[in-house]
Amino acid sequence: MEASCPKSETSRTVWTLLLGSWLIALLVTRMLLKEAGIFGISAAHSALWVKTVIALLPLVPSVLVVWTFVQDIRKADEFERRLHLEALAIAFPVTVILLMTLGLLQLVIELNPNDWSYRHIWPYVMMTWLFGYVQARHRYGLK
Amino acid sequence: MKNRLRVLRAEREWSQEELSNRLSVSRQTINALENGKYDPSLPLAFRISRVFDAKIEEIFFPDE
Repeated sequence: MEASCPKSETSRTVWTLLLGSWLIALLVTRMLLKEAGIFGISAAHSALWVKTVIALLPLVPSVLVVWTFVQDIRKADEFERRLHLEALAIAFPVTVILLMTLGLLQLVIELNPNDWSYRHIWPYVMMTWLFGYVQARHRYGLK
Repeated sequence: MKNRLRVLRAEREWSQEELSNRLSVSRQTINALENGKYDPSLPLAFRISRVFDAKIEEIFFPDE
């Protein structure tokens, strides 16, 4: 028989710190790569490898977020896993359709990459996952 | 599937939190089970039966 699942989800504080650090890394990266820079520091004219490292900076908190999410799922009980599965079942295809729509639109319209681009996949997934999670909770009579 | 979880819990004067601790699941899982919105897996059903010292068929019933 399956062992009982401990209830030790990552605290809200840890999640806030992780998502906050991801957001800060994203903002700092964008500002560093611009001419104006941040606090007088700019990497706009640095070597390509320096700019590449800076551009990939947000990957560090992103990987931590994914790792924490997977740990939470592994610790979750069967019902919580069901909620997450239903949320992801909505989030994944909806995000794919959204990206496909953007790709198709780019065939005929020149979209501003600052507004719509593949860089925004993460927020799309977050938003569609949240939507799916709320839907799943509603389906099971939870507020 | 219907169940007598809420009645059995009330008989023992346990809160949802207390039952969730005894079953090692979250309180929202107990809530969904009691409202008949979620049917437990067989391992969880056996744990529930053990906690209430009752047979599974004395706790869970088919809708018909």
